[in-house]
Amino acid sequence: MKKFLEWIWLAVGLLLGAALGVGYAWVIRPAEFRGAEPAFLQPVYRGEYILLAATAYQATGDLERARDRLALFPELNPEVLNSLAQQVAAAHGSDEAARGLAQLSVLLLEETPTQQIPTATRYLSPTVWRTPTDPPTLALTVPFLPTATVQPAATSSPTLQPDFLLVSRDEVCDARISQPQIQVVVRTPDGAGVPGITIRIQWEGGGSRFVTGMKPDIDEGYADYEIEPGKQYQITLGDGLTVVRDLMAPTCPGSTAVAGGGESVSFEGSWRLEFEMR
Amino acid sequence: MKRFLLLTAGTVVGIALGVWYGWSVSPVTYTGISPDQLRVEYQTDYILMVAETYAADQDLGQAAVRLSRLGQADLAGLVRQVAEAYAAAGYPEQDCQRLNRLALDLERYSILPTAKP
Repeated sequence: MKKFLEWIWLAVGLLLGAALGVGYAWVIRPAEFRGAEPAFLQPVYRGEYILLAATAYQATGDLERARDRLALFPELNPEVLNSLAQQVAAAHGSDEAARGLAQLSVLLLEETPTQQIPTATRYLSPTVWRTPTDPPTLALTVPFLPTATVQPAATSSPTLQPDFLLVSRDEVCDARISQPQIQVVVRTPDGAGVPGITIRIQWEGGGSRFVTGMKPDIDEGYADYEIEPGKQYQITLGDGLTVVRDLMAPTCPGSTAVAGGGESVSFEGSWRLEFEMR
Repeated sequence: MKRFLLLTAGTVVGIALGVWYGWSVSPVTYTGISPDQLRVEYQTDYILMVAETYAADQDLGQAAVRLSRLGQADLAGLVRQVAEAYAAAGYPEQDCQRLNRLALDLERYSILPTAKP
């Protein structure tokens, strides 16, 4: 028993020493800071990093690289990207960023959730795209998108040609749609839906934005915006040269509300606009 | 006497273990950092992203503001440095060209950022 008590002193020494050692290593002289990973950025910079990855993807079309960059944020998944794209569009941020984010979210959604990223990348260490089992908890702040003055200003005289062509404008009289909508579909000339196109919508005294690709189950190039009956709307696509004005929820003839010859009740319908991207 | 020796030996070993744990196993992590505190490889990738974006949108002002987050005064020199490092490491020619283009344009124009977040 006496011998056992003596060894207690060793244990006490170990505990005391360990506490002192950890205190020294954490407080007095922490390990040299050699920089952190992007996941540790402040929310505003994290948001900007992700947007930058999206705009860079939009510029290069290099999905593998974009995926590697986004994989640095373990909580990110296509759902969060979607939400961020919406936030960027709504905050009147960069169209390129919103488009890139939406496209990335669609592309990543199409992939197997736990697909291994090819290890060939030399830019960053290979990582795995993770779909978290828990709801996303990534705190992102849509960054302020900076502007700056460049002197001298670059002079250019671009040829003004719209990027989008309105190919159809149809009333949608579907009583199952409870709230009137403006439905937009953007396709390539060969008919493929184009996600990530920002649509500006304006009405008297207000405006907002929405982005195609948020409902890929309907169509990758589809987007809709709920409108109020009796209000006039105008939508603008891409470069601002494609504008559709005077959009007001159309009045649709109602089907017979009561079987056996009841009164026909009209209702407010929606608009479906199809655009071709040039 | 034996008790004292055991206590001292335990403390010395404990300190060594504690320092090893605090430096190697679970070092202090920093959160809420800014881009200039990213690890070097992420800073260079950040610069490449700026160059890639600039190649598409030609918005030199925005590129300059983004680069200024890295806390360097000589933005053109910073990009040039990365371009040279990429070229030396044998990275794709296109990346080097984008970086060089950005460096060149930054050298050519004077940038006056008007806003910061």
